[in-house]
Amino acid sequence: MIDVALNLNGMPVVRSVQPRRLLSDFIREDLGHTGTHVGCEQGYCGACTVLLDGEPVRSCLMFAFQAGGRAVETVESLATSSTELHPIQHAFWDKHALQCGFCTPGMLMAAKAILASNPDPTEEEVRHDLSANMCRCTGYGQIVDAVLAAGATLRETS
Amino acid sequence: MKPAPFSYHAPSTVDQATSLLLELGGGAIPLAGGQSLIPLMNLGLVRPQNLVDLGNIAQLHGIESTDDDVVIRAMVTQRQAETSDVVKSEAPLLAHALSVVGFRPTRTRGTVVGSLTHADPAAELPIVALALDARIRLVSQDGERVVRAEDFFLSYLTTVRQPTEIVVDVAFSRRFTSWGFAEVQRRTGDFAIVAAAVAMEPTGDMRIALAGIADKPVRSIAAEAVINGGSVDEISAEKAGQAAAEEAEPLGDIHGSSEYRRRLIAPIVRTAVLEAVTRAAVDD
Repeated sequence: MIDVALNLNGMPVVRSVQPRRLLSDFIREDLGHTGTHVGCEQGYCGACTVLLDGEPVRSCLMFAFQAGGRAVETVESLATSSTELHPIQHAFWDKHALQCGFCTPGMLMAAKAILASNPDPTEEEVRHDLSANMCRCTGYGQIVDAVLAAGATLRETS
Repeated sequence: MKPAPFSYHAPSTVDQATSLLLELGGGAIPLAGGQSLIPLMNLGLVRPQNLVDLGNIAQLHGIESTDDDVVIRAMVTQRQAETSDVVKSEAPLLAHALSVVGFRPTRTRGTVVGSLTHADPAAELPIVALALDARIRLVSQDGERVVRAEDFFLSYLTTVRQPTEIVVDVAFSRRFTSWGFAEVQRRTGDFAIVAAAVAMEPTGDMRIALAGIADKPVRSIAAEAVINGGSVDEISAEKAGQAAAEEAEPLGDIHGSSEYRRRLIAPIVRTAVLEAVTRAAVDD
């Protein structure tokens, strides 16, 4: 067993785990944050996307030990309270950008990273950057609309 | 599926890492970005008894520009190389190819050296290494050796790296004056079905490398023979593409039959060659 100490959504945490523990399972099982979903464990689907020091990564393609000393943000970090959605979440709700919700946490974290590095993206740019995340329900159209709408909201309020 | 259990080692220097690889024997695999290794471990296809984590080795970070080369060390991520001003200006073919490797999240962890060492014949970076006359430096407890890209790749997922060696850096030549790149992918971020990377020498001669048509990246000697020593235009680019297609004996798989791949070679080579010519004309 090895100790993994990192910062999760602003809180320092430490757990003792087997080296083979994936970051996705560390977040879900050891830290009880089940918002991050596990889809393919091959790096294709993006359901496991979290932010590592602000950058989007596949948590299923990292061992927990590789995140030691780093800051991890998951979907649970978005809403400011239990009644107040983050603007990106609000846009997804408003544009009906989710159905089963399985891909949604990955989409939200990917969207946050996209808008952080490109605050006023074109539709083409959003489509290209979101190609890292798969959705089987919506056909992607409403998700693209939601990301563009969220971008507009974030630009207004900043 | 989850990875099988392994013992974890975290050396802080290259010397410690190579010493560990020697001591642990063949059952130890170095871990860099993990974007190729961890999927294999998640599938249960690879079950190392030991992982040697290179992530804490400060010596393995950094991109350096010398008189002749752009040197990228083993732990430099694809995203760092893609966004590096040095790479964009001195090895633009590499910067462009990186932008179509996987996705931003996999490029944020995956390394340039790791992709070369993984040696998937449908990957983009190995043909960039061939086109840019890359030299790969390997270190073990016995010392170090430098291997040229054309000698580095042996076969499907196989390079000359021995289990006791670590690739510490790769040097891409800065001498090329223009470049071209063309690829067919089913979806954004996929491996190539067929891809061509072209680098133009100061003389105007070209190095033309192809992915997806053999068990390793290959240079098309036939295409180069058509182009080199003469003028390049639509007609010679077309002939070069056809020569490359005739020379190749592509292997088929579930992503593309051998016949389909063969048909893609000529237009892909033609496109990449013409792009290099156009780019050279614009820069003049």
